[in-house]
Amino acid sequence: MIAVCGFAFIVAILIFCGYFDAVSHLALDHDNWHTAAFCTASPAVVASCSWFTYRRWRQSRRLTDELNTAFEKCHQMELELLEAQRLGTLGQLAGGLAHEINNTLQPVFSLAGLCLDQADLPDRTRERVEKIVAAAERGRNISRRALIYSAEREGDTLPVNLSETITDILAFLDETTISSVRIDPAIVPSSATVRVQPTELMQVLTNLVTNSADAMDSKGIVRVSCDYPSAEDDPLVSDFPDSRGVARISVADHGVGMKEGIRQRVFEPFFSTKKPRKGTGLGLSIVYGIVERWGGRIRIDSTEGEGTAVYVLVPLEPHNTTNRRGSNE
Amino acid sequence: MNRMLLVEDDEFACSALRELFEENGWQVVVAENGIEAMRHMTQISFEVIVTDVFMPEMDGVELVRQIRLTDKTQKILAISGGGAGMGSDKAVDIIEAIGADAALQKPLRNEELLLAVDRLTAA
Repeated sequence: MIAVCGFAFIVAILIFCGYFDAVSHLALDHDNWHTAAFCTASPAVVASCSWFTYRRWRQSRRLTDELNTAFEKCHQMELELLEAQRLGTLGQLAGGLAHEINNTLQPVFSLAGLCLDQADLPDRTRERVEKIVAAAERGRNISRRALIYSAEREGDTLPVNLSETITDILAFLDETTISSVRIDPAIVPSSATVRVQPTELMQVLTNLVTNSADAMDSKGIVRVSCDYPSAEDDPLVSDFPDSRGVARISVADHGVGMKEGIRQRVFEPFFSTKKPRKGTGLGLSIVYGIVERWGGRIRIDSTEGEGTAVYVLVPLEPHNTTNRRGSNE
Repeated sequence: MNRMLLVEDDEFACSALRELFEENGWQVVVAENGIEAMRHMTQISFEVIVTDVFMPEMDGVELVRQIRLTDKTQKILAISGGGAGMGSDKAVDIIEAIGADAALQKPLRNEELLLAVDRLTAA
């Protein structure tokens, strides 16, 4: 479009100049020097004015683009702020709830324990009390994992042991996601740490696992793995400084997959392929924002009809040196 | 007999813990919050204080701070269920930093709790 307009503009200038050139020759032929001088100078004046106008137009277009980009960025930040506020409230709620659950479970543990201490307790009663303790134990685990949500959100990032924290988060997600979706963890054990906020790690995994579950129509297995690849294993590793290792978290499903055109847009805010009210279109854009803050990279492999795998690469803390199996050297 | 001050605002947790400690040879005095605990402490001395962290009026953090102003040797075990906006781990860290000898996250199995009290009083 711009090329066509530019071409038309140049042709118009040439025609214009040609017209003045012809008039100037005619004036010279009739010894009319004033007309001839005017006609000779006019094309230069018109061309200068046109060039000036064209440059101003280009400049205003560039400024408009910059303004639009700034608006978009501002809008994105506003969304992130709203999401952070929402999660902050959720964190408060989870913390308060966990406090109540923990206090409620304490007498269950104490009194059930005292019952079990009785030597003359009938076997059947003992079995029942043991079941009460087992149920309370499950409640305790759920409550402790829920507390990950209630950590301070505004705080700095912390050195977090990735394999232990992901294992805890997945156990929590496995308890809380619908039973027809199973999480299959493949976590390479390691003492390596990454600098993140645990709540953000939980948010990233929750969003990715939820997307996978939705892509499989809430039926199937979501494979979540964590390993420490080299540059040969994963080309994205070469984006990180050599001296630092990289942890890779992947969430893979065998759901509907994506077309290339959709894959390219999934990190855009409000872009969603889900049914109305099933998704806000913010999940992956928030994941992207968090991973950027960690200094990490994100990649999506997807084949329509076969499934999707999302890879999140995070730099390890500088003092970590981790081999491919994950054990410290 | 060993004397213990149990500071706990939750009615059920308090009665269960009291029963547990009494069954294990402790003479237990109960306080609902830090203010009540301070009042007991002016009248009786205790071998150990087991205190909850989040309580109305005066919480466990303030109680530990007040005790440590005058008494550096009183044995204190803090037990916390966590609270709104604060994970249990963090509450436990804070109260240990302020001066509790040990801090644990509720709910606790009897053997965990009794072992912690035994270690503290044996030290």
